[in-house]
Amino acid sequence: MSGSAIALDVAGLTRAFDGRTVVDNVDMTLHDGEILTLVGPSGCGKSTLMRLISGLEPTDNGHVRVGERDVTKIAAEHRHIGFVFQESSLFGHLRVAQNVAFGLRHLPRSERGARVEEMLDLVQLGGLGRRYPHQLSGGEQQRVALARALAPRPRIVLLDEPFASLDEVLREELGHQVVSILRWAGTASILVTHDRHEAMTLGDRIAVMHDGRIEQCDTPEAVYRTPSTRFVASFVEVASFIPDGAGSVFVARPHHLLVTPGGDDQVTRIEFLGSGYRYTVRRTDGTEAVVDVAARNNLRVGDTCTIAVTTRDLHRLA
Amino acid sequence: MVVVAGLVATPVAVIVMSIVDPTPQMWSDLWDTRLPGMITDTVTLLVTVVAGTVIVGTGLAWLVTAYEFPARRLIGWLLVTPLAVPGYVAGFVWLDTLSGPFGPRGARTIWLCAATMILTLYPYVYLFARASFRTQGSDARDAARTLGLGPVRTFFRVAFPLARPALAAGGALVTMEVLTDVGTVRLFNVSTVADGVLRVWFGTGSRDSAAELATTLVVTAVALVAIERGLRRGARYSTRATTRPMVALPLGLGGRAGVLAGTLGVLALAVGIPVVRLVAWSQEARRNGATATVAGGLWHHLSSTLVVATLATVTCIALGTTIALLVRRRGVAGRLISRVSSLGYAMPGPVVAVGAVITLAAFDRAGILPDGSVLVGSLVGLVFALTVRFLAVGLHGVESGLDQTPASTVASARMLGAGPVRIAWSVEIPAARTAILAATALLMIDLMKELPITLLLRPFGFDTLSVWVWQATSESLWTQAATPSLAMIAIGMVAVGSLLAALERGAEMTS
Repeated sequence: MSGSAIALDVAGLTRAFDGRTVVDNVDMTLHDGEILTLVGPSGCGKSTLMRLISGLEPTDNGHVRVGERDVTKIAAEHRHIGFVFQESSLFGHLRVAQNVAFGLRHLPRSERGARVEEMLDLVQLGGLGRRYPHQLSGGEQQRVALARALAPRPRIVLLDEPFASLDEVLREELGHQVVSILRWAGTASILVTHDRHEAMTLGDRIAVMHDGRIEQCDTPEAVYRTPSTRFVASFVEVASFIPDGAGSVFVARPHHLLVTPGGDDQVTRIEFLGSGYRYTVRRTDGTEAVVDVAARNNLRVGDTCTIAVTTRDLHRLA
Repeated sequence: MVVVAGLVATPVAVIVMSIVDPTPQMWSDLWDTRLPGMITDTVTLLVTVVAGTVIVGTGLAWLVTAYEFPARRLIGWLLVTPLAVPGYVAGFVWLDTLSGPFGPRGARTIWLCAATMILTLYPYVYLFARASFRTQGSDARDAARTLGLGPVRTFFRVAFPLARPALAAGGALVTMEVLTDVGTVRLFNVSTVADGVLRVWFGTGSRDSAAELATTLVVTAVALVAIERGLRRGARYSTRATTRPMVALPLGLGGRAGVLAGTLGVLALAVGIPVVRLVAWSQEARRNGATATVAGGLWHHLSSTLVVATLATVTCIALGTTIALLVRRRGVAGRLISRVSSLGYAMPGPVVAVGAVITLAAFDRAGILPDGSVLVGSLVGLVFALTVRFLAVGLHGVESGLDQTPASTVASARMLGAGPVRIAWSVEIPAARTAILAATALLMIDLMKELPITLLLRPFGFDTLSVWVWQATSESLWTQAATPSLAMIAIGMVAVGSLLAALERGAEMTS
């Protein structure tokens, strides 16, 4: 990715509401064709960040550049950024094809029809152009919204939790479908989600947001293996923090640990995972550790036990 | 827009300013003679009619949404049709009908006046209550049933309280109608404050005294509108779509008979009997040639009514749409303009009429029109005054329609490069079109019935149907009033029909 041009550059973006800083000094870069997932708990400022980048929300501080163009002072309607919202935001009084054509006024009439068809084919809704939005399922509506956002060929497209209102099975299927559409279109994209699994599987890079800040922005592997903060470590996957004896901690994933009977720690919960069992253990220092084992041993809830680390290269938090 | 809002607010301001320089003589005369009676009558009538419309409107709405009975859908629609019958038309029909058993004096009571008003005004409450019950869904009712509540207690303890914000909105509309009415109360010799304003104007010829008396109504109306605004804010929270729509419960044989008797009984009293009697009278009038003696005849009056109502409706909708769009774009300034231009709706008709005449006369004295023509008594002046009074109906109607467009849809349009004008024209207004249609129908109904403003401001020789009815009924010439009354009911029915069509479509689109 690093070889391609920068599609979006955000620097020092800040926004406060009533004295509460919701987006705090955010820096972010997106390359052409790249898909970045933005993940964080609800209320962390993800949606506000998207609204700042799109221009729907005025910024207090910072810069937004699309390509070489500084758009910080430019109104949303002139930024040429695609946006897909959480809930269906289709124009209910317009047919599907008219929805997709809405942003194509700059095209000559003759080209518009062809572009609309191309886009509907891209989202696999060819032939449904004459329907009205309310005649489509929730997943189909969001695909129309994507086609509508991509039709003017924006350099970047922002997707603000586009699957949040759909049920889980549909979400997963649509998630992969949307990503392959975005790859096919080659549009740089930011996909907002609060689902860590979605964030890990769909993005080239993940930005983890917490309390208005981006705590880490890196490849899924790097975020998983070498998290930069405790929050990132435990947000992307269950983590136990094992003191290193020098005031710092190691990040241990459940499969990095082993639990054996006897000792000073205590089993507080046992869950069946399908592939094995997950033990939650309260340690003598008051912290919790989570351990996955393939086969159930004879430990029960309340039994004493000991935790052991099975690997030598745990990541140490700075 | 600021200029428009200012213009629309001027007649109201004129009235309010008049109290600064009071005429003590008029007040002491009035206080010694009629004013205490006027206040008592106004309050009695207001309380009775609001209570009556809320009970009748809510009860009917609940029957129609919660229970299954033959012809339910049709009856549900028909129950709105009394809107098409002006109160003073129902009034003179019942006055004559009941003069038989009670004698002509015995029938002219405030209670009969209230009864005819309830019969013609309950649809306002009914429409709000029905919409509220529909969005409530069955959950609350079904939960009450599982807790052992019978149908009557379910209504009073669950449905009624849940619908309260909607009922308040409907009740506020009824309040405005009652405070404004001059036609019905005059028939029954009920002397309300609104009636007093007209009497002072015509009796003493003093605009200033009439304006001063009108301030008492302004104060009442402003207070009531403030309360209504507060209540409506609550209503917005409770009108969320539920997952399950209301499912009507089947009724036993006795229940079905009872519901049919009740709903059809109301319809007969409010529409059926008045129409039957009016048809008979109008045929009688045609036989003895009474209709032909009225200057201009039916067509002149009908076309006058349609011209005024259409012009004023178009003005109210166009201005209302512009202001409503402005409110969405420019928060505080827009809201201020919206409030200011809604003031007229809080003002009873005679008040607006007085204020508008004073305003227009001032313009005329300043010589605003080039060739010496005057605004007072012109069609422009009449439409202006009607717009002052009814702009809020258009404004609130369009606003409620615009609220249907989610913020994300508007934002989507922006992200696709649409500016404010294109968003308004191709997203917001089309999405609000059913609400705009509904507001148009309501305006047509209101304007067709309108009496005091038309009476005071119409151009010479420009007589509407309502003026004809007014003149005939003030001389107790029921047969003469029958034909124009039927024509008004016919126009009203067309408007009610399109209102219902708009509401049904709105309900479909949101489901």
